[in-house]
Amino acid sequence: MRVSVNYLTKNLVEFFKILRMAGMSFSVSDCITAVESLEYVEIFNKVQVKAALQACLVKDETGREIFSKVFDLYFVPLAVRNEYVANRAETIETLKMEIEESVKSLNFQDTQVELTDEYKEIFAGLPESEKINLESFLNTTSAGKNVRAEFKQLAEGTVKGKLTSLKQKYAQQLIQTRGILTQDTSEAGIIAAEVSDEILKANDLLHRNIGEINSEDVPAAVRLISELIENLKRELSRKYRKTGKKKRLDFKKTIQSNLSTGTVLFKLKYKNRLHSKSKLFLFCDVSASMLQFSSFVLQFISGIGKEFTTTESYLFSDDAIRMNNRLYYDLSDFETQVKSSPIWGKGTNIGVSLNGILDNNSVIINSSTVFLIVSDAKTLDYNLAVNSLKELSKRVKRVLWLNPVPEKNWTGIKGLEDFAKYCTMLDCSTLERLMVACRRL
Amino acid sequence: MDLITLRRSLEAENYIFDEEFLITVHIALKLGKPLLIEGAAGVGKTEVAKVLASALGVELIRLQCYEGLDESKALYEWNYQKQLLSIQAGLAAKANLSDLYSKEYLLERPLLKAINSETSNVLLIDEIDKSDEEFEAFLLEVLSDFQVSIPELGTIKAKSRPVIILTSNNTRQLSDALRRRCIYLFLNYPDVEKEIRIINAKLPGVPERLAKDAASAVSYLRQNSRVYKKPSVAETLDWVSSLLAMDKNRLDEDGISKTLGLLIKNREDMLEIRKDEGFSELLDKKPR
Repeated sequence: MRVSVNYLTKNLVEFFKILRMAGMSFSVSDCITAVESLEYVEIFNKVQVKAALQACLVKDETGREIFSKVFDLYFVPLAVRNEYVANRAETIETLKMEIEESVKSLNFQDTQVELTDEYKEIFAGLPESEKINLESFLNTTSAGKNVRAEFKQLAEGTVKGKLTSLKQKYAQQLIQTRGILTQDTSEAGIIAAEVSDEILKANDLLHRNIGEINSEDVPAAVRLISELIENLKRELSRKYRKTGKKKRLDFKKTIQSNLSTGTVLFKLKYKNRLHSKSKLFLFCDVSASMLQFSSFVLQFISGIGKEFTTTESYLFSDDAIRMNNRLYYDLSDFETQVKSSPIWGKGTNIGVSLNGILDNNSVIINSSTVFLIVSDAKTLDYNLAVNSLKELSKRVKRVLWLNPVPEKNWTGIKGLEDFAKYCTMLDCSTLERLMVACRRL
Repeated sequence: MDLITLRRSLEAENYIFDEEFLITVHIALKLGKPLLIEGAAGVGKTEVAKVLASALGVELIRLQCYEGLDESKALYEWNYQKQLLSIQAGLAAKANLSDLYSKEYLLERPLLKAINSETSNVLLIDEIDKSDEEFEAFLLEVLSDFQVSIPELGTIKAKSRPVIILTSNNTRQLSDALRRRCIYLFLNYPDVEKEIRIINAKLPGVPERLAKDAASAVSYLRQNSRVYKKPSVAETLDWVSSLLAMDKNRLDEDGISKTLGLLIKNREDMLEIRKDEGFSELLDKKPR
């Protein structure tokens, strides 16, 4: 009996480990509770065991999906699981070899180009025609006149740049080779990776860089953006609504209403507080560096315009112009209007654009304004931009900055650290990051 | 209560459930942990608490959460009118006023009522996501130790552990600390088959064809991403009741046009449904 208990414990511990590797988060005390819960169900009834463990370990909807998939893969007869793991490990090893073999064709003057695992995976997943293009580029460059071996680094840089842009073009296709080279081939690693991959594929749009969203994904992206904007709206109204918790006593009314009880303060009367509603001010970058995100940006502005009736919207690049709110209801009209505006695709000057707003007496920004900037923060004259932002932050309730550049790359943007002092800067590089940002507001 | 008894008690309440639901509730009861139920509005989260209280034969104490909810509304408040009157009377009679902060002057709000109750009860903390984060943090003591602290009286421990049920529509993320203390249950809209069973259980005598048609139509509306406010289970039951009152034994255009307002509650959704060919096809297929 002791042996079987140990075997069950070992299995459960391994199961908890896989759940964590697949992205679930739970404490040791949750694990203990989960084991305890098995006392109250029939241990040989798979449905009951699954429900009991799920009740104790799962804490949200995403976790539920991960749990279910891991459970179904893990709790199968041992022989079936071993066979599955062995087959999968073999497939992964074969894929790893194929990827390594594939990049051997990328040579500069008979020396293999050095690429990181990520670039190797991208190359291996490309269509043959693109691979041939890259190979012939290297062959031509290698054979050029006066081309020395030191030029290899330069050629490598070009290949990496090309692979980065191809990653965007073939995003859907490249899912097949993503993460293969770093894949753990232990039993836990294989099951966790299988589940994570399935979930990633199902929610691919959510995790994809917003600049990589293709035209065929736009309807699905619009639905997601609408949900996100709905969240944003809820969060903003929640955070800035007066809760009425700290009411001020109205002494005059209190004494008046308690005259009948000999001024014993039987009923307290409070002063009514005015309900202050936040107004959203959208300030959106449509300069050249933002063009890659234009599909997202246009949908976002349109969505915000429809959801927030009190929105003022301005587009900017080297100057700022006001958008007509009535246009939001027809996206194609709106898109035409934006793209034909004189600031579309120009250079960025946040300072000048912001000053245009701050100095304009007809623009109403005050202590109930939530100022929402959508920009990659790449600007000319960043000192001016920082000062304008500082001035703005004094005049409005809050400045929120949605940045489509991933947070890990922010260190490379000049002046961004100073901008962040006067606003809440949030990463919106993927819809998933935007969703997280909305929750952090 | 063992699993079989719980199953029978819930069945006796005409509550339709699956094995996952039953096991989760059973585990929460056995481990004495709060049950956190999440799911879209209208899937029947609040109903779980009502049915459970009825099945366990105990009182249901409900705390409806909202923004700005604080201790004085949720836990206790001193009855200061009574205190003032006692002071006035006491001064006149020169009585001892040292017990002004005793239980006699305490106004019990739902949380304290549930903790102080001599018998077990079901405490429903409804729509916890609507409350503020401070209130959520305040709840942690109740959820983990089944006790509350009142500065003037000290710590009050539960005389009989209440069954705590929290519901959330997920309008904001709940803290990990709160989630960690709870057993989790996610409720989804019922599928067609389950909805037919719910209709039959709650509205005995509904023609089989009508129940099936209504459940299919509601399922279709819930899957339509353009419909903003999805019909709830309660709305389905109201709708079927009204169709029944019109002597309908199947779903037809006349019934739909006269009763759609019971199912769809905003103008945009109404327009969307009226121009939705898929929904019309659902009706056209019916034999005349």
